[in-house]
Amino acid sequence: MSKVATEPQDVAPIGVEGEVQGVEGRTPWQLFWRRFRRDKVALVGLFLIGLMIVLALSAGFFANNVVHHDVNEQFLFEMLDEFGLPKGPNAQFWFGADPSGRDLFLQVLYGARTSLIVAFFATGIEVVIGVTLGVMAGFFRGKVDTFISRTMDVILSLPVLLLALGLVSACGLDPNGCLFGLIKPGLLLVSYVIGLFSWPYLARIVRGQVLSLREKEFVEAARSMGAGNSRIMFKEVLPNLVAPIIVYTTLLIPANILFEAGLSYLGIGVPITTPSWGRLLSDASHIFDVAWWTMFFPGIFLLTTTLAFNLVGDGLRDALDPRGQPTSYRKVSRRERRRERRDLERAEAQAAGSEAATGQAG
Amino acid sequence: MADHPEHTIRTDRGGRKERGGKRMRRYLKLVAFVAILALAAAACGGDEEGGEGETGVTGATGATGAEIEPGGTLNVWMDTDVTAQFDPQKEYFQVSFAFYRCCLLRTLMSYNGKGPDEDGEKIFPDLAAAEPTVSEDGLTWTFTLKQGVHYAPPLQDVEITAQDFIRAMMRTARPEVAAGYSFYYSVIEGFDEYAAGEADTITGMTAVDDYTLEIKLTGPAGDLGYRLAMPAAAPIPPNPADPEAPLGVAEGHDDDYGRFLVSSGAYMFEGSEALDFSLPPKEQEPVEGYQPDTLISLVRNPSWVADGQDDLRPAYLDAISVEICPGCDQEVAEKKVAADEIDHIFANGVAATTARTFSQDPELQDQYFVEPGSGNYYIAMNLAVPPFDDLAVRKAVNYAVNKEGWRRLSGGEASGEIAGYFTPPGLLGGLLEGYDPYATPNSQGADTPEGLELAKAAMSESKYDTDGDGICDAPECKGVLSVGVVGRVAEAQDALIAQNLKAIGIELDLNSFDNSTAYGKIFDPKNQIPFSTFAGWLQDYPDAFTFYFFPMYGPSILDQYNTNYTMVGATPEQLEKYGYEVTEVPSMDDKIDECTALEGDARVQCWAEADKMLMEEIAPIVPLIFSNVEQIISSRVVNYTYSLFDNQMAYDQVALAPGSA
Repeated sequence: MSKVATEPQDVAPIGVEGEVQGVEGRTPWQLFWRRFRRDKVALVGLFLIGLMIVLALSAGFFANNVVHHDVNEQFLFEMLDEFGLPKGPNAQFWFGADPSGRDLFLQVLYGARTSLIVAFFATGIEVVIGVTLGVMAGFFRGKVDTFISRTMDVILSLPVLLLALGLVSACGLDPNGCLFGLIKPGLLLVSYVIGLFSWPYLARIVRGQVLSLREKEFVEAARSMGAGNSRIMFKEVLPNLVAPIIVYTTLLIPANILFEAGLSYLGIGVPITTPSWGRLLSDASHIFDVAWWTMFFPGIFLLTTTLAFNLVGDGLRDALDPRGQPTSYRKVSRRERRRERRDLERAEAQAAGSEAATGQAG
Repeated sequence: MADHPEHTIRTDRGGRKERGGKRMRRYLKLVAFVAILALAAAACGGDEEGGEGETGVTGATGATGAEIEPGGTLNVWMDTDVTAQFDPQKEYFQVSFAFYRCCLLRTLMSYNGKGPDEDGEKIFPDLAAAEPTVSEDGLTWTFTLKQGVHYAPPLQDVEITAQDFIRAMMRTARPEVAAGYSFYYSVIEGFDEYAAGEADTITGMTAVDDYTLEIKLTGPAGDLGYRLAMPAAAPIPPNPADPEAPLGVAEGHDDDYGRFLVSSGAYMFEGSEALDFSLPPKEQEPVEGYQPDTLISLVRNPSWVADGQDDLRPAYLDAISVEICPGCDQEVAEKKVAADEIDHIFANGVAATTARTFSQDPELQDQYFVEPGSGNYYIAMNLAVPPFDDLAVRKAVNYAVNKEGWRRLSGGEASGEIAGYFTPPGLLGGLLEGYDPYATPNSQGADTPEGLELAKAAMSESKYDTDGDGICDAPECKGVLSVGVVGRVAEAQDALIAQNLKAIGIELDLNSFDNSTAYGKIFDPKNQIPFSTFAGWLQDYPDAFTFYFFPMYGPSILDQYNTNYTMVGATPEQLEKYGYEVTEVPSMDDKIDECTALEGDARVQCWAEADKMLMEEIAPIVPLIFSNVEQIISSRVVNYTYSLFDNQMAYDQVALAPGSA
């Protein structure tokens, strides 16, 4: 792999005898992690994402062992008032009820599952399609680029919501769905819709990067050594795209969580028996002024999760792209900056001392 | 009036209805009595003693003893325009019906604009001078018209005559007009032939003289008076500039007559006097007072005042200004009603939050009303799709559904009365009061132990419950396709129904679509939708016939736009045509035919029997609720009156508080 070096190697201290002292080679991963762990805000984001995943996984545990009821059980007479409006938090229902009289606490926990599953799955589809076609468009240029780019234009010009409505209408009546069961209303459909109609955004970024990378010397070198197009694309060029892909992917995930919310609002998302934050927020939109909890709890979870992904995305960008000015630079503590400066001065001093010693010896 | 336009019902707590409704009715009785006395005095030429207001409209005394002060402009808001730009033949919509009745069109017979306790469901002579005379065989109806009633400007000199009603029916029959409910008039002799172009006129309608209209029928229709009280039967004036034009002023306006409408009612569109029918139709300018999707501006019809008003409409207001705001948030408008910036919202319900605010705020309580609607909501089971081809299964479903829970999700008691049968009680004269063949404790169905036992007992009689344990164990009960509409309330209700039916072994495959898609699915009988959770029906006029004719009548099953979702009454040929494996289903046709021919109390009794037969012998539906209508008004509005015919506040009955006009 011809990874373009982006991180200057640490200056190894040279001893008075001219011997290399304690030279420590670092892999790109180590370099990345070293930079990333300095970003405390990104680490907090990572922690929050981990927490959300744990909560999502433990939703069933809470249902069975803590609150002792099913997530979709409706407490119509206990938790809806005489106007059909939900009641607020109490000892039994910690987050109150949603507008359908269900336990909002469980809805939020299970909603984390849905939101994360849809977000990850849809993002996966976007990445696979977007990267593959983006690399091909940028690498081959010419007719291939034209075809893929125009396809992207067409897809980006499609009214996604209307198309999704049409898909549901066409595929919703048959229990087996469409395309041999591949498209069915619910989680899969939402993921497909998001993934299949959002990949051009990533593909455009990748294409632009590849157009630049394909002119680099290492590509010429690989070609001169007889590497084929596939190898160059996926073994030489693609590894150099990891950073932007990862960064963009972390930003796609929160966007997709919000997209799922929008689709659910229109009834082309997940069914009501599948909790999702987006749907909870949609349901709350008309009553939040009298039932704040219906908006607050799903909102705070959604906000936290999307913020966490964005913070991690920023951190990843800083860690993976050291050429750029880290947007999180200010987040690095003064102490760390002082330590960095001290290390650098020490290294320079040692290097100067070494040169002096060498000169004297000479 | 076909299905409910929206699957949203709003509400209030139970006590509200009693407080708001009954008190207002008592109030209205007194007001009505005094108003009728005042109008009678006016009709006798008595406008001495200052009874005539500035606008020429007689005042009346309210229940509080305060004088009702005529005049002022009522400010109304609605988020949807009428459906056919006020074309009286095309409009088939509750909203436009309300505007026609109160304000724009008089008919031979009409309603008094009042509620169920004040004969609001009955029809009275309007342009007719008296009740019609009907021949012994019920096939010939003769109407005598009032004399000296004129159209609004610019035709203030044109008197309404018998030929004008024939003209309206001719326009209704013409295919190029595409009238909304011409089927109601097929019973008139020669109507269908004229519609088919086989005759030059409707042979069954004769203007014996200017003031006598004779109508001959091909078969008995005890509700003909109601049918002639619909807007399509309102008179269309001749065109003075072209007296030979068959459709009078509507000639050349097949698609847009509503914007050139000549009023015969208490109000007219602002600027009507500028209509110029001497020009060719394409060169005529429409009225200014109706701008589609923007505004409706009604002003008093001077002809109506000059002709001595009418017996049914006091019409206190000088003008009615309606802002149409498509896509706007109704809740915002509801807040403006509370702030007296808007006087009334033309809608069937209000947001639950608004209902709670109005009913709990002492200052707003008197401005909130829960009124009986004229519609129902029900679950439709397709008799031709297993397992619903089995009466025992359908009975079990009736026992299982938690209607009270369904209503709570709709918004509670104010959203409607729990239904035990099909036709709203107001149309059955209360004959089925308390009737519910599938009653369960508190109407909570399988969510109560007793209800579950009843449901299981019914299911155990089914061929689909092979071991007789009350739980369907046949594959036909698994993955039963259910079609509903999207929306938080509707989907929560569907989930509740699915939960209820699961208790007796029926597993629904819930599918929710937007309104138009969902209706598209169930309108086509070839789709063979087994279970529809969003069915509902509104009256066209206060007679049970309008409930049975489409949803329960075999001959009304259509290839497209079929609203007989249960396929009750389908013939074996129809079932084969639509690809059903079931070859025979029960029918209500004979009973419907029997009731249709009757009149008066016998007719009502017959429809009540039909409802019992439907529920006990066929049970193709699960009746959920008889819907209510919630109304909010500003504090400026006095003499609030609810019109049962169009299920809205009656603009011809209300007035503005003294000093606020």
